[in-house]
Amino acid sequence: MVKNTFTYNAIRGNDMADNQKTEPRDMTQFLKQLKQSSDFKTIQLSIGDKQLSISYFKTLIDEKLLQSHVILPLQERALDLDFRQLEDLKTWIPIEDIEMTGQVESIQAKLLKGCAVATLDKEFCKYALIELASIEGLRKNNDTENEFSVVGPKVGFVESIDTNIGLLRAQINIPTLVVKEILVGTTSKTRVAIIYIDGVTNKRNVKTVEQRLEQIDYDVIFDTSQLDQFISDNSLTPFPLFLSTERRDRVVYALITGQVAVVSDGSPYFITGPSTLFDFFLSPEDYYLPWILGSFFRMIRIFGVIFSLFATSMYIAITTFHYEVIPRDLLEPLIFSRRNVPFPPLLEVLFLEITIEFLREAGARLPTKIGQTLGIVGGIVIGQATVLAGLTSNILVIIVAFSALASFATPIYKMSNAIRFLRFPMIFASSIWGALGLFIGIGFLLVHLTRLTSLGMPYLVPIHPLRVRDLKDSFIRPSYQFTNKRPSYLRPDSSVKYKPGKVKRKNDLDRE
Amino acid sequence: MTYQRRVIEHAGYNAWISVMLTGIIMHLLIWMLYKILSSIEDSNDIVTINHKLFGKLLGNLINLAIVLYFVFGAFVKFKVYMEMIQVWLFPSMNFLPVSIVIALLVYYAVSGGIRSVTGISVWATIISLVSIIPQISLTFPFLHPMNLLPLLNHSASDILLSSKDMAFEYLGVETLLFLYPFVRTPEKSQKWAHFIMLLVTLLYLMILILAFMFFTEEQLRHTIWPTLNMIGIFEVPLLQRLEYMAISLWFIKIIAGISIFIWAACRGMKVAFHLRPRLSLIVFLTAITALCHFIIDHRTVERVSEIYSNIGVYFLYAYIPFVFLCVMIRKKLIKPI
Repeated sequence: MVKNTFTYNAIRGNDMADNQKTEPRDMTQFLKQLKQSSDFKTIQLSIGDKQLSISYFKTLIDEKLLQSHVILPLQERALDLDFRQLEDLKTWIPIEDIEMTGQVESIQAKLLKGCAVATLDKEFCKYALIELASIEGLRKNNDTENEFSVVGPKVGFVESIDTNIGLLRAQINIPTLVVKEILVGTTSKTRVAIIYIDGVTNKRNVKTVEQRLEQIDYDVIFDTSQLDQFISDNSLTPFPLFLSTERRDRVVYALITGQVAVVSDGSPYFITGPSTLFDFFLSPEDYYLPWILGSFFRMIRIFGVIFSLFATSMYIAITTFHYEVIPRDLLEPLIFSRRNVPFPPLLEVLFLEITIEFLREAGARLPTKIGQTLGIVGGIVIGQATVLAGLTSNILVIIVAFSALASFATPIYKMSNAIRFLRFPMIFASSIWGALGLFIGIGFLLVHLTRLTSLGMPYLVPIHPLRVRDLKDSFIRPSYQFTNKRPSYLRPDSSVKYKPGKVKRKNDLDRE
Repeated sequence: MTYQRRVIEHAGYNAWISVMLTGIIMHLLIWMLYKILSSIEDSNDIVTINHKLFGKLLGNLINLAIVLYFVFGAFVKFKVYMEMIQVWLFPSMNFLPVSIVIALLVYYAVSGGIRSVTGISVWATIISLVSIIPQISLTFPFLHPMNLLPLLNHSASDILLSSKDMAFEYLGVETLLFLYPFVRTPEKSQKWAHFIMLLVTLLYLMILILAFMFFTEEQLRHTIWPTLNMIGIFEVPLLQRLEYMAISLWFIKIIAGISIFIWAACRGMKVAFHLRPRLSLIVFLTAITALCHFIIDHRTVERVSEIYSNIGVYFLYAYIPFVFLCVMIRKKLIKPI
């Protein structure tokens, strides 16, 4: 199961000493530790005959909020003698989230998440925690940047978990949408939310996700995609076992079909699971277009993936071993284009494929404007030059460019990465044993796919195990009249999504 | 792939009757298998049934024979395919590395348990169903329907003999003897089993009739791989000599067949002798790879596959009805008590 966590647990032993250092027992020691940082501030206010001190991290809180909502009301009543105990702050300060506590652990946790700690000089062991967290540093724009669609909403998620859950709640407007929060990460203490719809999602899946998340022992959670790796069923696979997306409509769709969504604070990506291989080829746009077009484009996408996986390896197999397969009419241009090439097909293909990979990596890391230039320089200039220099053949440039193009057709980036990677084993297999090698590679791929599971659910469902009834929303996108049931392989608690009315359309001859 | 030639040896171009006949017999056998497996309580695979019927010692002897039969079947499948590769794809190839890699693949498939074995079989089924469509449509211009006439010019005994040869193609139904405990709803699955058997019979019939209409009888008698020769004629844009692709595509089916046989053998070893399946898996695969390496010439392969087919026929036509009878008698005997 979660292989990764074993190693982290092993490391845990050494970390015990560190952990104790960061978790002091009493308040004075804790404050002393905090005062080492220059962004830790303590201010003194005198109200009536009492001295109130407020401590906070300047960098974590919204200072305007502090001034207008905490200091100002307190100063206005500075001469008021009614102030007797700390609890009175609750009535004085116009901030709802004020907690009274004496526990060092919770003070520490809250203080580091952007609370101010107020205490009276004479009352020890009693502290008020005032929620003042600043949300600066988060981007304001929440367009989907990496999963674009022409039709449909462009609402994406941002790096704040509360905004994200708010976005979800705005669209799933029912009380049964459950958000469970846990803290993950020994150093970052990241809030991670498990989201599902009660009464729809199978409880076992929720429980599995929860257990696996709780087992994680890791220091800093940067992104949800890390969680994806920690909780996935099998870490020895190039395939993503959870769908990760930044689109709201995708997450909403996953939730209403009965999947579980997980998001961590600070990440614009949600992961949803259990997912099947087909989920990665669905695009929300399929559902916004008429079903005939949606189905057609989905099939194009699946074909694109198959093509980009096998096109270059097929080229190698045919040109190295099975030239009989090439028809006579095609043989001539092929020979002509390969006449100047001094390498065997394998080297030729590897050369071009690696060039394309360089272009992709460079393009992904560079700013958009330079990236475009790079695409032109790389694609056109290098491609043309290599052909002229006789390093590769014209036809191969076409095939490689096609397959690179086709691999971009997958709507989920992680899946297109997996396919990018899988091309190489296929290329090597077919360079050793031709078409037989290619099919040995395919055999390994198929067996591997059938062995994969996502949260215990077979990855290849509904093809294997065969679920004929759920096949309808896999290769094609059927009309909404037929997609009113949730897929049975998710074992949802209730299977009906909506009840379509009977459509009666008379295709009449002048209305008969 | 090669059955067209074998089937017409006796019955000539009336062999399509034999194919249908074999199909019907197979339906009967499936029905028997289901009866055997479902009629004894708390023992629903062949190993325990053998124990119950023939006692511990004799039963285990039979079980061992069955296990070896399955391994033998896997070997024959493997070797026949290797031969095909040698003849069509790589005449001068060193087959040891390939067989090791294929053995690894089988290991990977079988060690995933029943789920991955059936998974690869699902893919194989999809491939064979999908590949039949272009095959039919592309042969169409080359067919001579008159080849089929005269409709009846062979004796009944010839047709029966041919249908015995045909049984080789159906070998594999006996894996049900081990698969049965893993089927969740046996009653429903029986319907599917019959359905698939019907489909397979139709497929065989279709391919056979295509071959009949494509070749003359004399041609067909001298063609080892008629299907491949047929495919070799096709030309689609961008590709010709499609048999190279077809042979490679065939690989997935072969893997599925081998995996199921080996899985059944491992399962048998586990239930009968309490051996760890992983261990027996490794032993079987090494044995197969080694045997493949040492048996080289075509005559031996042919003889071996003939032996296998004979054993298989007896297994299907003698052993299963016998067990069926035993089970029925036992049921009758026990009931009054």
